[in-house]
Amino acid sequence: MNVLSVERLNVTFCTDEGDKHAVRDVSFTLNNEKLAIVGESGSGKSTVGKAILRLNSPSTRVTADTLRFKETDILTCSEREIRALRGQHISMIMQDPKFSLNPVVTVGDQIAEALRVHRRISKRQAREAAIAMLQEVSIADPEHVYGQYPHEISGGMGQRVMIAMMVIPEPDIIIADEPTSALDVSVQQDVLNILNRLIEKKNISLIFISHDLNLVKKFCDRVLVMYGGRVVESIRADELSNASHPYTRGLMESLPSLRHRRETLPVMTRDPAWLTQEPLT
Amino acid sequence: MISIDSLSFDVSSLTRHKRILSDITLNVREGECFGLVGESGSGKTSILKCLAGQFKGWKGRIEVKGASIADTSLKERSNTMQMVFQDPYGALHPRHTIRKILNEPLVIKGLSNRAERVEKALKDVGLDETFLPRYPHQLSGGQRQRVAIARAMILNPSVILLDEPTSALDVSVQAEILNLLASLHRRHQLTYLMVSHDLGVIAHLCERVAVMKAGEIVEVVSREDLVEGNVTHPYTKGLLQHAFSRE
Repeated sequence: MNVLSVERLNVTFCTDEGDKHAVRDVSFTLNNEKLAIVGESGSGKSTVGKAILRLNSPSTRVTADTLRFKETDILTCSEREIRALRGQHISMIMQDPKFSLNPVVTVGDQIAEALRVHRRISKRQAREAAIAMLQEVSIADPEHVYGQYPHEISGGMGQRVMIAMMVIPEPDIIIADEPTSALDVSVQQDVLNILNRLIEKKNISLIFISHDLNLVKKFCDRVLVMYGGRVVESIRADELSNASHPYTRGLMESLPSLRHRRETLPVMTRDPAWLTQEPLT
Repeated sequence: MISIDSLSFDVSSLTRHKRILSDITLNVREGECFGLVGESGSGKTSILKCLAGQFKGWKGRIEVKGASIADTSLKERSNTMQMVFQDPYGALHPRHTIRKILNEPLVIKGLSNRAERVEKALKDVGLDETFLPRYPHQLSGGQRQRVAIARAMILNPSVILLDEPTSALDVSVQAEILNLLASLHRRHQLTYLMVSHDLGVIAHLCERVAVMKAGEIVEVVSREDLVEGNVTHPYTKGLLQHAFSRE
């Protein structure tokens, strides 16, 4: 069953200098899977993620034929309904834990709070659940870390805290916007493994926004490639190396490779037709 | 060209004492492209900052072109050595035009034929004179990085320090900048000392690479040994295995 369906989503930023059409006719459905949205900066991938949670600023115009989570129409539902959706049903992991955690609240209390806004439980129960959750994200001494402030923990640990906080209300969908790009390579893999284990255990669907093709090739099931606000190709992740769209192929080929070194890296020539063609599937 | 001998650097405050670099020794040959790889906090950027004069109070000996940099003034040092930074958004003055940005090093050095040199430097990095009256915010990330490279090149240095020059850029733009750096290296017989966390980028550009961990160099390997997996230190093996598994 479709958890989320998006049909002809359009997002326009209205600014003093005129309108900027950032997302054009994006359509996809999300089942119980790991879906990646990849693209370069400015391709509109994060804007899509925000539109799903209706987090865009008031000056942004969002239209769609369909933007539905299960039975709820995200575009027309009330502020109250969307607040009930956020966190409890759809939650979001941001890029850098340094900026997305509250610096003056201990990390444990932040996780407990994520649970207490959605459930009627006592402070003590929330604390116990938060400590159990910290253990689940492989934090060695959860009781101690519970009382620490975000600046006292490392980036990788901060991102694990973020994951704990987003997973604890047991949502249906997690939107992860570049969750590992601020981390060192050795930590990246640990964080991804933890995320993977938890979403499989709790049966959560994932939208994984990233610019890293090599990473999504291994980690996700399906990939939407975005260019200039449009989806240019939708492809199975393990088929990425055999992509047919010239943009996807260009992105794959422009990565420097350890195995096949080339004197000069191929540089992409962008075809204006990519902005009007129907997406390849 | 660059010779670093038992370089150490400590930072201490009233309560804490921290060793940033400990006993670094390395030699970069003339015309070589040498890489420094490691995780954040391993000290790779600190080596560049000691060389560039941003860090003072280090111990040991650093020679560039045979002269100890402790004995040369910053102004002299900038004739032979220039630096390109990671973030092209932060490295260019937001209220200076490209013309002013490129002109400034020439003014400081009191050089003549400025207009000519500025245009040549821009052409060298693949931009034309229509960029001169523009401000950095009117340029894309890749174009800004090209301007930063032009600024480093304009005094004809022999050594360029590159601090993660492509990690803030998209992969397609990264390819363009790596190609540009390779072609400048060939045309001007430059010596590069490049920091990156990406082994793929390092292996593409550099002939040798020093692997750093916790302020120390654990191993120096050639590109050939790196791509064939001939490394000895377990930390390098881990990094390499991870890089291979991603491809």
